[in-house]
Amino acid sequence: MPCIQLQSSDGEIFNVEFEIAMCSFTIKTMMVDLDLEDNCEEVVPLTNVDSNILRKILQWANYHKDDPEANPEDGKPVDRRTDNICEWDQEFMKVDQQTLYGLIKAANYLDIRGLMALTCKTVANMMKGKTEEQMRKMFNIQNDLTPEEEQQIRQENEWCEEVEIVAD
Amino acid sequence: MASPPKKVFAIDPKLYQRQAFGNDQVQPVRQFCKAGPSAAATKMKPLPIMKQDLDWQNIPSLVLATVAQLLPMADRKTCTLVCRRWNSIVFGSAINNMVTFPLSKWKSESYVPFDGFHRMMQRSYRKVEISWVNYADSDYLRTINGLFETLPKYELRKLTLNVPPDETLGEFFERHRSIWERIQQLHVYIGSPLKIYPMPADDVKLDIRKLSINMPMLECLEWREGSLGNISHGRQVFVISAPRLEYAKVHTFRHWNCYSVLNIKSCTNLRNAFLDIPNRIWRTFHQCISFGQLRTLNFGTESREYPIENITPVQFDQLFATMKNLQAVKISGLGDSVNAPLAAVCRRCPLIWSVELDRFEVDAEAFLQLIKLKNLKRLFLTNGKIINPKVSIFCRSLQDLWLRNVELVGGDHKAFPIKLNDAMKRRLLYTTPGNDVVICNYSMN
Repeated sequence: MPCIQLQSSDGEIFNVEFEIAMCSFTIKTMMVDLDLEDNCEEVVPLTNVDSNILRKILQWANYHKDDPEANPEDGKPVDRRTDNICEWDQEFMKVDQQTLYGLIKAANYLDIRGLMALTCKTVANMMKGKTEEQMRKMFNIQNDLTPEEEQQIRQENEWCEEVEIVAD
Repeated sequence: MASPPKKVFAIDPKLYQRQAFGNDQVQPVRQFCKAGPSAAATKMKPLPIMKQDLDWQNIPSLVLATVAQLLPMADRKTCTLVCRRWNSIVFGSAINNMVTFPLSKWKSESYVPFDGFHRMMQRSYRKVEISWVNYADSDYLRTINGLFETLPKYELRKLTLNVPPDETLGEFFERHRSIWERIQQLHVYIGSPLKIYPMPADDVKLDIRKLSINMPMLECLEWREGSLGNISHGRQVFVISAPRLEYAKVHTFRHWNCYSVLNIKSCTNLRNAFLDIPNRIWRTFHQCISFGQLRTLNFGTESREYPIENITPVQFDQLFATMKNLQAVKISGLGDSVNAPLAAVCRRCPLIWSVELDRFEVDAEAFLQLIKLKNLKRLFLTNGKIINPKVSIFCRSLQDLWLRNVELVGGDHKAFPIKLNDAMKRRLLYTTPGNDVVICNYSMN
C-alpha cells in the first residue's frame, strides 16, 4: 500500500496510506495538480493542523475509509437530520471544545466532507434549544450588537416564522 | 477587517465557499517539501495555540452556514442574535436585501403571508425572486397579482419571475406598469426545460396579443423560455422599450414554437448581448435593437445544435455592419452555418480582439480570414471541425498567430496534420480534453 507523508504544523510527520489521505479533497487536489501521485517521497506540510488534531482526523478517516463517497453536486436535498450520527462517531466526538473547534477548522481546510458533516451536526446539536446568551457563553463570543440592531433583527425574524410555518 | 460577508436570505454554503477558503489558502507544496526526514526526526514542541484560533467568533463562514442549515427555524433565529457576524452569515438583513418566495409551497391564496410580505416591503427590500415550482397550479398569477397589489409603495429594483407558460402572463405585465417603470434588473423564466406541457384543447382559440411595456430604468434583462414539447397556449408579443438597457440575455430551449415573442426596442445603449434564439426571432431582433454600442455578443445556442436557416450571408453582413464597436464575439452551436456570420464579423467589425467558437464546422477559407484579423488577441476553439485546409498555408497562419502573441486555446495537437516543434505546441495549442477540434480533409500542397 503506497503511503504519503503529512507534516502537522508542529512538525510531526505522519505516514498515511494513500487511500486514507485521499478523503481530503484539498490533499487530493494538491496531489493531482502537482502531479505527485507517483512520487510519494515528498512531505506534504499542513500548516493549519496540529498533530493532536491530525491524529484524530486520521483515526476518523481510517474508520470511514470504506464509506461511499458523497457527491455534493448530485442535487440531493441537504440532509437536515442531526440525530443520525453512528455510535462510533458519537464516541469519537466526545471531545473538549478546543479539539472540536480544531477538528472543524481542519475539516474545512482539508475539505473532508464526511467529517465536516459530522462536526457540523455535532455543533448543531449543541446549539439546539439554547438562548442567544447561552450560545455566546458556550462559544465565548462577545455581543457586539447594539440594542437597536437587536431590535431590528428581531423584527426581521418575525416574518420568517410565517414562511416557515406555511411551508411545512 | 474585511468587508462583511454578503447577506442573503437563503443559506447557500456554496456562496461562502470562496470566502471560507480565502483565509486558509493551500501553500504551494514544493517550497515546503524540502524539510525532509531529518526535520521529522526531531520532534518539535507544539506551537503555542493562538487565542484567536479558539475563538468561535471567527468560525469559518462556510461552517456556520452549514450548521445553520441543520438547525430548526427557532434556533436559527437565535443564532442571528448572537453577534453581528453570525447575524450576517445566518440570516440576511438590510444590506443586500434579497428574498426568495417559494410560492409553490403556499397551498392557496389564503395561505400567502401578505402581512409578512408587506412588512418586508416596508423595509424596502429591493430584490425579489418569485419561483413557481408547482406548475400544475393554475392560480399562480392570481396569487402574485394579489401580492403585488398589496404593495402600493414599491421599492423593487430587481425581480426574478419563474413561471409556467400561461396566457395571462401578458395581462400580468399590463397590470403592474408601475413596477416596470422602476425596475432595473429583470429575469423572466417561462416554462421549465424539464417539463412537458400539455397541448391546449382544439377548441381553445389562440389569439395573438401585442403588449408594449416601457421600462425606462431597465439595465439588465434576462428572458428565457421554452421547454420540452410544444407550447401553444397562446401567443404574446412583448415589446419592451428599454433605453438604458446594457445587458440582454435572451434564450430559448429547443423549440421554435415559443409561447411569446420578445422584442426589445430603442435600446441604444446595449453593451453586452447574449442571443440564443431560433431563426425567426433572431430576424425580428435585429430589426429592433440598435447594436451601435455593442461590445460583446454571444449568439447561437447553449442547448444543442441547430443551423441558422433563412438568413442569407447578405443579411448577416448588414447586421454586423451595425456593430461597429464589437470587440468580442462567441458563436456556439451553429454547426456548418457558422461560416456566414463569421465572415461577416471578419469583414465588418474591425475592433474584434476575442473570438470564441463552439460546436462549429468552419471552412478553411473563413478560418484563415479569422486568423488574419488585425486586432486578434484571443481565439478559443472547442468541439469543432476545420474543413479542407491546405496544410502549408494553415501552418504559416498558425505560426503567424504565434508571432503575434495571440492566445489560442482548443483542439488536440495530435490531430494536427503538421509536425510542430515542442515550443510551438505549448505556445499554440492547449489541449482541452473532450473538446477536440478536428482538421478534416486536409491537402498537403
